[in-house]
Amino acid sequence: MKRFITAVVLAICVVSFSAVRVGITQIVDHPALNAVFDGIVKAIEDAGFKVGQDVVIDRQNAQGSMQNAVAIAKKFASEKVDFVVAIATPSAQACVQAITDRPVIFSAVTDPVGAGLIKQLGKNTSNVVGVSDMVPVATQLKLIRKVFPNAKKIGVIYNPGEANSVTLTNIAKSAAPSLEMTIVDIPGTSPSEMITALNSIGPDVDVLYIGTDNTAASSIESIGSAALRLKKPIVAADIDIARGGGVIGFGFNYFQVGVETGQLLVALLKGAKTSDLESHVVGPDSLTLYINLDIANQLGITVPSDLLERANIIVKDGKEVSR
Amino acid sequence: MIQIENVTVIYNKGTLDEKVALRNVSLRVDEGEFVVIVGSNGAGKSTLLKLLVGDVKPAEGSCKIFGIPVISEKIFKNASIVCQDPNQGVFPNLTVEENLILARRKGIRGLGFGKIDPKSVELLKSTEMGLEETLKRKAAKLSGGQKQALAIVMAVSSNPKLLLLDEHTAALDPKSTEKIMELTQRINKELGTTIVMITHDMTIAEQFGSSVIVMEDGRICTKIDKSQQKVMASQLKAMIRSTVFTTTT
Amino acid sequence: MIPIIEQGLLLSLAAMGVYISFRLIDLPDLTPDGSYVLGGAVAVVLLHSGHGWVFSTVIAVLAAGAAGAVVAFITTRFKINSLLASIMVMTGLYSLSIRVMNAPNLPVPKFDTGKIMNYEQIVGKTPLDDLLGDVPASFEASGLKAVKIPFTNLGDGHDLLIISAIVLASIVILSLFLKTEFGTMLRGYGRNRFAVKVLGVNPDLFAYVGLIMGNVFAGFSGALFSMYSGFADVNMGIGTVVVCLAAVILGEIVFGSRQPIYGAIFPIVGALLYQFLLTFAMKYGYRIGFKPSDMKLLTALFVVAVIAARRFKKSEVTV
Repeated sequence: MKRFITAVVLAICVVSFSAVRVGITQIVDHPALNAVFDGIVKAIEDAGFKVGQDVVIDRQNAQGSMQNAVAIAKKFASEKVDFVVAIATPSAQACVQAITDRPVIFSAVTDPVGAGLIKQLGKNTSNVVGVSDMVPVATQLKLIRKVFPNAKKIGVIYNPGEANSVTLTNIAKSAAPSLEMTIVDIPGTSPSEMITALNSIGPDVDVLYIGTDNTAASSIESIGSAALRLKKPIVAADIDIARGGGVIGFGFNYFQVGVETGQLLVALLKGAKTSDLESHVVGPDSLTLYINLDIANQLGITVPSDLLERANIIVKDGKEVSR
Repeated sequence: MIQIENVTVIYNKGTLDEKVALRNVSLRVDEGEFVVIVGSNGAGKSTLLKLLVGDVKPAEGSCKIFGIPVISEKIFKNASIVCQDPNQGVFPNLTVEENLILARRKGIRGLGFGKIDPKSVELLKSTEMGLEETLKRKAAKLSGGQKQALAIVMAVSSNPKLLLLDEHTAALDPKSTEKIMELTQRINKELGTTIVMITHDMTIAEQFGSSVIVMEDGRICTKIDKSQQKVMASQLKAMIRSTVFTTTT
Repeated sequence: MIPIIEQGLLLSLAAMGVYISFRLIDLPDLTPDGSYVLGGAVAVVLLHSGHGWVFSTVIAVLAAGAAGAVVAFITTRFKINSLLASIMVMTGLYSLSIRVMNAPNLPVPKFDTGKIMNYEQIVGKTPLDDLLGDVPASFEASGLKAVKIPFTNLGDGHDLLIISAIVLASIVILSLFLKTEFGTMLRGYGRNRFAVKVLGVNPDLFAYVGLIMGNVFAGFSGALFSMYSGFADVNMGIGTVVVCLAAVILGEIVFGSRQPIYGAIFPIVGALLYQFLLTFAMKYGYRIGFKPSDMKLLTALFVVAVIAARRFKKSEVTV
């Protein structure tokens, strides 16, 4: 019996010593960021590593506090953590500043260059690499023009306190003039503020656009209902947001972002160096076209047939069909 | 020094709560006088003091101190007031020493570290309340009588020309009251400070002060100069009792 | 261990500001939630403009102090309760900070970066391009330039030394100030405004001085934190006053009735304690199912434990 116990204890010690420790930090508990985490775990497991055995994850959550994000980064820096994954901009900024001797992988940061994480997309010589969740805003505006040829004023619903959303809105504002469109801000630092702004500014715009804003995502049902009441269509860049109340969605979902992030981690686990890997945006092949015909009918919108043919997900009569 | 001429003060003019607090009151107080004011509640005593510190303005008439009309921001540069609540006159979270250091002059301070004035300590000692031992103690820890003694010493440390006392012994026990009144008298006699004191206690009115003013219903009914006429506590009580039943509109 | 002390000390500066407003002058002030951010925002923007970190911090601190002056103005002039006035100013500072940074988040870059581009420029084409037409849709913005900060983030004690020196200097200056006649009258004002008036001084003066000082400390903390953490973010001030109050109360409990340096020691000890508690919860909390959001419960339990321990000690002395 004693020998058996000793053997088991030794085995556990060996396993825990040889297991790779990955610290994963996110700025707040939010479905989109949690989906990234899930995607990372899937990528790790798909590559054949067992989470909890080969790879031990220390998952930390800053609960919205920047100070906590920094404390977590410092904690990882001083512990025996082999790799660090930081989800969302402030967590990533804190980790890049605090950890210089180990790989840091960022995820769900729309503009990693502007956030000071890396010199440029592609390969870098530093210990930082990651996946940006930037969406093709200009293309989405072109999509709006194709479906709504008479749309001139595009109302962008976002939280001016989220760096990612501000970046996307700025890109939209620079792309709009050449498409003969004007961008109108519908801002809110909280869901209730957003709905108030939507109700007062919404009637004056033609189409509503939502990027990847976390605040909008967390209350998309109410925003969707408000938009329906105003009879304004929502075009979204995040497929999960589109599912919550959009007519058209063209983008990706955060689980995909997580999977691509996890694939970077897997490469590192297999021995690659961060300088070998490329920081990138989610590839165009992962972009999904989502069309909700029920809402389109409700709002009297005709979706061009060539677009319909290309759709990856169609919602009709309450049912979602993927192609 | 104090020149109140035909002053009328009305509270809440024009509303249902309108009350005439002072009616055509005239009073003159010379330097060095020790005036005691008595009267029943609502007679206008506190309003008179408020007039002197600029907390109320006369609807009619004028109130001048040192020849100029009272400006509430400026009056405390040359006058001090000690109220009924001993906690109001001192800084409870500062030590006795710090209280005295602050009180030795009026006006804004600088960034130096002040020194205590030995005269203030002497004055404290003269009250025989043991205060000279408490210099390093926080004022909040003193007894009511000690606090009031400190408040008075603070009030006169900067040598103000005028000292106003609003029932300053009303909250004290008889022993403390005695010591505080002795201190008050000494201040008037030795420092020459002009004092205007409100009191409810007729015995004090009899024993202290150079003149007594009896107020009723916003008017000054009587002014008795003690050098001309002896004042008895019983007399004063009777005066007040008799006028209490005068109907007021 | 070292980073915990570093962050605790950075927090203690903001806690000192809260101590000044809530305890010394007794004018509750919520502005630090906003002036903390303003301090960080101004400092980082100035760093980006090429200024040194000392100059940037000084200006940041002055900006934060100005916010305090506005609160003092509203409170004294319009006789509005300081808490209410501070909520108004704090809300305004959120927008102001975004204006100052021209973004809700600004990094403190260690290296020069390349240009910032949009998706289409990075990737080239998307699957729907054939359907959507040919209008070019490119976007470009200039990248960032590296800025110099005093912190190395190497965990070797270098940063700890700098932060400790700053906090020590602050506390020395503060305690000397509170010892002067002006500072003594400020302390007196906190408990008896009437007595200040009787001494021939307009009490409103101390409302200004106290609220300015309180926010100067908050802005100072925010500026240093931004440089330490590598970024300024408009959301980094949320909950500052609440956390600092907890720190002050923790400090008061530790010292009991004693008040070394007029109590200015409370925020320092309390903030360090708070940071240790927080880290403890983060490190081991998950084993018992704790979440960082349970921090408040932990704080309450800790406070009760400290009080109980002190009670127990007292009874030992009398026996």
